[in-house]
Amino acid sequence: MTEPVKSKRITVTVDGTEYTRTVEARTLLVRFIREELDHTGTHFGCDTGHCGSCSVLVDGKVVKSCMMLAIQADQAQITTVQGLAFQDGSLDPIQQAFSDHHAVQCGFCTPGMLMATEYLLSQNPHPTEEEIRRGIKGNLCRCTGYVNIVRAIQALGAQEEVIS
Amino acid sequence: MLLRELEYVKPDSVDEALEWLGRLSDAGLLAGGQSLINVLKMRIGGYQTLIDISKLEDLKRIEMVGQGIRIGAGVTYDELLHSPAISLYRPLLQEVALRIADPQVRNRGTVGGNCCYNDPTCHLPPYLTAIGATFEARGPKATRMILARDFFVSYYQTALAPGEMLVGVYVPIAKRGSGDGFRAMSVGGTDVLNIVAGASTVTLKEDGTIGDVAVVVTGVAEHPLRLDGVESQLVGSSPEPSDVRSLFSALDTARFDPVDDVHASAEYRLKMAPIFVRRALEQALDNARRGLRD
Amino acid sequence: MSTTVTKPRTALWSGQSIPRKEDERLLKGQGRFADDIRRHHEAYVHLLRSPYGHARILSVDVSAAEMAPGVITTLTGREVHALQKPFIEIAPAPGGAIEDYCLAVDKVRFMGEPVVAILAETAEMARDAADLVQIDYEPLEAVVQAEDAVREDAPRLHEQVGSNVVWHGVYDYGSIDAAKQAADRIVKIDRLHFHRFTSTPIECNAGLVEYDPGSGEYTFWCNNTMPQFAAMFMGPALDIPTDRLHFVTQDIGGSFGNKITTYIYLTICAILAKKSGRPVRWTEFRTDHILGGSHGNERTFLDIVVPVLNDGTILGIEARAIDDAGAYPRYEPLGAVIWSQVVSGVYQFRNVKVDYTQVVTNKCPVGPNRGYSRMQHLWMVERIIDIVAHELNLDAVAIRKKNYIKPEQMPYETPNGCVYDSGDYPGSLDAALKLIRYEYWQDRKQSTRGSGKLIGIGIGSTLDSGTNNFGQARIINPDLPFSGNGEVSNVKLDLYGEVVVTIGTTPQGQGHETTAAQVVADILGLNPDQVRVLVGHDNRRNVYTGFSGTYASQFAVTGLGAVRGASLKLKEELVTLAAALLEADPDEVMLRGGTALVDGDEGRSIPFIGLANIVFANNAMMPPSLDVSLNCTYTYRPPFQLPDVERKQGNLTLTYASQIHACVVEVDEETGETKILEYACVDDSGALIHPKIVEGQVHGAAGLGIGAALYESLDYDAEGQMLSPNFFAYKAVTALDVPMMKTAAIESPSPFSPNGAKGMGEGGGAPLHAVCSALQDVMHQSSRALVVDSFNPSERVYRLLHQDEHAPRGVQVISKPS
Repeated sequence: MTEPVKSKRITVTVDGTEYTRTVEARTLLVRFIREELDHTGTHFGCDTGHCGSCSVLVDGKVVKSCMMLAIQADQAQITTVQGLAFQDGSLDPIQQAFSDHHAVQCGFCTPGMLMATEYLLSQNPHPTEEEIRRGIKGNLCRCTGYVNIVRAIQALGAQEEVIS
Repeated sequence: MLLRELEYVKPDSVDEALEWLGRLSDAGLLAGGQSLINVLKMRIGGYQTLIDISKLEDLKRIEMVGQGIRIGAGVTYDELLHSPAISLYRPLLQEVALRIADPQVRNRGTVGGNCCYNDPTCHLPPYLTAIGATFEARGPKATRMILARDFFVSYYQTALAPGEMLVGVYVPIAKRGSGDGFRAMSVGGTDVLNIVAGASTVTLKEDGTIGDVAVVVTGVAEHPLRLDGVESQLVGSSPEPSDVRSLFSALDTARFDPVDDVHASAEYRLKMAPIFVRRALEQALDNARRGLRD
Repeated sequence: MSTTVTKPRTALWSGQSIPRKEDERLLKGQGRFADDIRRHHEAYVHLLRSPYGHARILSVDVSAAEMAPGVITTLTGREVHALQKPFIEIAPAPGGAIEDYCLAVDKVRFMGEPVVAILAETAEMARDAADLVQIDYEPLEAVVQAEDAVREDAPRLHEQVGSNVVWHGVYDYGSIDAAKQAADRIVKIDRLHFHRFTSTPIECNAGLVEYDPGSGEYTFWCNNTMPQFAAMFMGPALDIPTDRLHFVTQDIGGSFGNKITTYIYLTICAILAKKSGRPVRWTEFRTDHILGGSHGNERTFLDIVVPVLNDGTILGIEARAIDDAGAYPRYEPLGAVIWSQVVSGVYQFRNVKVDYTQVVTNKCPVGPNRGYSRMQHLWMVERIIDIVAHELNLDAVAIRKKNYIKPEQMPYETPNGCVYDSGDYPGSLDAALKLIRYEYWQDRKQSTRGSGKLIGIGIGSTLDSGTNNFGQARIINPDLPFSGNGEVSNVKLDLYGEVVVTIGTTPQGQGHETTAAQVVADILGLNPDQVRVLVGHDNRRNVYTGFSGTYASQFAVTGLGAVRGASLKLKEELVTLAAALLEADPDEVMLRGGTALVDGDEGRSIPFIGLANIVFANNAMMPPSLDVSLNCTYTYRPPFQLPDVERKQGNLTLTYASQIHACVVEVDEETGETKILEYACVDDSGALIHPKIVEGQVHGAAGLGIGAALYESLDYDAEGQMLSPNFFAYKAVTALDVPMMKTAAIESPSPFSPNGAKGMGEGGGAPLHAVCSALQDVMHQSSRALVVDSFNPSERVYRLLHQDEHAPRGVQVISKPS
C-alpha cells in the first residue's frame, strides 16, 4: 500500500509531449497546465465548473480541467487547444469551421468550446441542433449568443468526414 | 480554485480503499469529484485526505445479476448512457442521466457520487427510490444491502456508516407492462438546476389496471418522499388523465417542507412539486401502456 | 442574414465579411490574455474580502499572516489611507464628498469589498495566509433597496455626504403639463423595476503590475478596457504624473463595459509592486469577479404618468427614476445623464419629465454594462408602450407604428437636442415580424389557448446610441473638463515597406484588427493581409487619446474614422513621394498591391519597400522639396458642441443604430416556464464595414439580453449578503436556451460619420424589452397582470399568471371628459 502524499511526481503527455513534474495534491489540473507547463491556451473563467473554458481531452474524453486534480492525471494523455492544429500549423477542420462561421469573437471561451466540439463530433459525427446544443451546454459563451458556434458545428456535421 | 493543502492516496482495490477509510481520521472518497472538488475549491468543507477511487475497475462494471442490473458505484453518467444493458432494461435511466449537467461532467461524475452527495437537486436519488433500487454498501467487515427508501437519509446524508462505502447499485429490470417517468423543474434554463423533481414507475396488469406503482417527489423534504397515499389510491385503477389531475390537485402536501433560497421560494417549490410528480406519473403510465400494447 | 442596402458600395474590402485576422491565434490557443502574462520573479496577490454588506472594521491583525510561509508583504486599508489619496469622484458635492480607496478603510460597504491584500511567493501561499488574518467587524444595518436608501432615516453608507444620494436632477423637456391637458386619457403606472444583472465576460479581471524604481514607471499588463480613464483616477490617487502609468493590453476575453473600473484593483497591485519590489500578479476568480467586479445599474421607475390620445398617440412620459449605484459611484453618476441620449426612444412624443436620483446602497458598485444606462430607460419606454396598448386594448404593432419616428423625419432632433442620424424603424419592424412569421403565430395564439400553453408575441424597439459627446458629463457636474470625443490612429510604412497600424482601442472580440485592415487596404490599394494592425492599448507603443478604449458603441465611427484619416494622410505622402521619384503628376499615381504606379504607364512604378528605403535609409535620394515621414497620425474628432448644462440640452451622441427585435414565447400555464419559440433581430447599423462581425454583435447582445430577461439576476438579501456570487447561482444562459435567432440588416448610412457607419454592439437591451412585451401579450390572454420587472424567471411568470384578479394591478387609466 502506498501511503498518502502531499505531493507526487507525475508523468503526463500534453499535446504529444511528455512531462514529468512534481505536483501538490491540491493542484487542479487547469492550474497545472497553465502555471506549471505554461500552456496558457487553456483558460478558466469560473471557479465552480460551469464555464467550460478549461475543457481538455483526458484520454480522449472531454473534461473540465478545473474539476479534477492534476495528480489524478498521472499517466494520462491530454489534448488541449494547443494540440489541435496540424503539424504544419494549419487549422484543423473544427478550428477552420469556427473561423469560417465567425464563431469566435473575443476568443476566450473558444479553447474549451473547441474541445467540447472535438469530443461531440468524435462521439456523434452528424449531430442534430439539439445534440449540438447539449454537446456545448457546459461551455458558456458571452459574445456569440451561441448562434454561429452552433452553425459552425452544424456545417461540420453536414460533412462526410470530419475527424482526420 | 486554490485548495487547502491535501493528502492524496490512490488505492489499488476496494479493500485497500476501505482500509484507508478506516485508518485515516479525516478522509473522504474522491470518485468523479464533480461536486467534491467544488466544495474543496470554496474551502467550505471536504477532507484532509482524499482516497481516489475513480480508477478502480471493480467499481466500474455494469452487469446483469439475477433480475437486476448491478451498476458499479464508479460508473460515470456517460458510461450509463453507453450501456446496452441499461438501454434494454431500464431505458429511462439514460434519459435521466442525459439531463445531468453537461458532457464534461457526465464524463467524470459517477452514479455513486450522485447518490452519496444526495443534494436535493440530484437526479438519481428520486428516480432510484421510485424504481426500488438497492444499494450495496461495503464496510471493513461486511457487505450489506440497503433499500433506496432507507439509503437517502437527509440533506447530504445517506445510510452509509463511517468506514463504509457504496460499491454498487442494483436496479431491477423493468418488467413487462411497466414504465418509468421522471420530470424535473429546472430553474435558470433547461436542465440547469432542479428545484423539484418527480419520479415514478408503474406496472400494469394485463387488464390495464395498475398493479404496482411508486410515486416519488424530491426537493420538498430532506430526502426523496414516496407518496404512499397517492400510490394506494392508484393501485387497482386505470386512471384517465382527468383522474390523475384531480388526484394531484388534491394532493396532501402537509409533509412537504421545502427550502427557500435564491433559486426558488419555498412557496413556489410547494406549488411545483405536485405538478412535476404528476407529470412523472403521467409519463410512467404512458410508457407502461405503450409497453403493454407493443 | 439578409441585408437591405440603401446605397451602392464602392469599396473593395469595406463591406465584405473577410476572414478575421484575429482568429488564427485565438483558435490555436495563442492569444495573449492578461492572465497569460508571466514575469520573472513574480509574486501573487490574494485579496481578503468583506463577508458583510455593511460593517465597521474595528481591528485588522495581519501579524500571523505576515509570518506565514512564503508571505512577502501585506496591505491593509489603514496603510492604503496613508499611501493613496482618495480616487477622484465624478459627482459634484455632496456625492463628490465620497471617499473611495482601493482597500476598505475603517468600514466595509459591500460584501466582497477588498479589505486586506496579501502578497506571497505562490498563489496558494497567499490564499493560505489569508486564513490567518484576524479582522473584527461590527456589523451595521445595511441599505439594500434604492427606494429605502433615499429615506431620511436610512443608514448612511458615507457619513460625510449627509445622505445616500449621489446625484439628483430633473430632466424636463417640452411640457408634460400641457400634454396632460391635451390628453384623452392618462395612464398611471405605479412602479417598474429594472433588475441588477451583469453581462459578465468569461475572462475575469487580471493584471500583472511592475514598478520600475529607476523611472518611477508602473507597467500594467492587464485587461482594462478604458486605460486612460483608469489613469485619470490612478495618477492623482498615487500622486504621480499619469505618464508614469504604462498600460498594455492585447487580447481581452470580453468586457461589455465591466472591465472599465478595474483601476481599483490595479491600484492595489501598484502599491504592492512598489512596496515589495516584485512584479505583482493578480488573478481574479469568478466569485471575486461577481462579488467585487462591476454590476449593471438597477433602476426603479415610480409614479409614471403617460398622457395618451384615444388613438394610441403617446404625448409624453413623466416618471421618477431611482438608480442604484452600489456602494461607490466610480464611473457613476455618468449613467445619470447617459440615458438621456435616448430620452424619447424610437418614438415621437416630445414631452418628457424625469426626476432622476442616484443613490448608494450596500451592494457591489455598478459600472458600464452592455446597453449601459440607455437600456434601462428604453426598457421603461417599451414597457409603457405595451402597458398602454394592454390597458387600452390597442394592437402592440399598431401603437408602435403610430408613434415611431418615421424615416422621412430623419435626421430627427429629439426634445433634448439629440439628433437621430438615420433609420427606418417601421421598416425594421415589418422585417422583424416577417422573420418571426407574425401572421402564423397570431393564428396559433388563438388555437393554442386551452391547451395549457399560452403563446405571446413581443416587440423590443431600441436604440444603440454611439460615439458619446463627453460634454454631457457637464450636465452632471459643470466643473468637469470634458467634451467631445475622439480616437487616434497611426498608419505608417515601417522600414521595409510594411504597413503598420496602431489605434488606442482595447477590442474584446469586435475584430478591430480586421476592420481597420479593411479600411487601410481600401485606401492604400492593398490586400488586408498586407496590413498589420498592432492590437491593444499600449501607451508606450501605440497612439491614444483621453477617450481611447473600447466601450459605448463607437469604434466603427471614432476608431475607423481615425484609421481612415491616417491612411489618407499616408496615401497622400506615398503618392507625392512616388510622383516625385517617378517624375509624374500626383494625380496620375495610383497605389496597387503595395506598389505606386503611374496610371496608364504601369512600367513606371516603385514598390512600398522602395519608398520606405528612400525615407528611412536612403534619404540623400529624397527629392529636396518633399517633407514626408510616411508615419501619419490622425485624430478623428466628431463634430460636437458643448451641451447647454442648464437646460440639459445638446447633441449627446453622434450615431443611433437601431435594433428592432420580435419574438414568440410559449408559457406553460401551470408552471410559468417560458420558452422562446422564435426570435428575430433587425438591426440598422448604418453602412456595414464587416457584416458578419456586426451580425455577431447582434447575436451576442441578443443572447445576453435573453439571459438577463429570463435567467440572470444578481440578488442580495436584506443584510446585503450576495446570494448569487458564482455561476451556480448566477445562471449564465447556456446554448440550450438561446434560440437560433434570425437576423436581417437594414443599412441607413449615417450622414454624420466619416464612413456612413454607426457605432453598434451594445444592442440596447432589446431582448429584455421583447421578452417582457411577449409576456405582457400572454398576460393579456390570462390574468391581465402587468409585467413590471425586467427579470422574469419561471417563478415570477407563474405569479403573474396566477395574480389575484382583485389584487392591485399597479396601473390606472383615467379618462378625461372630452
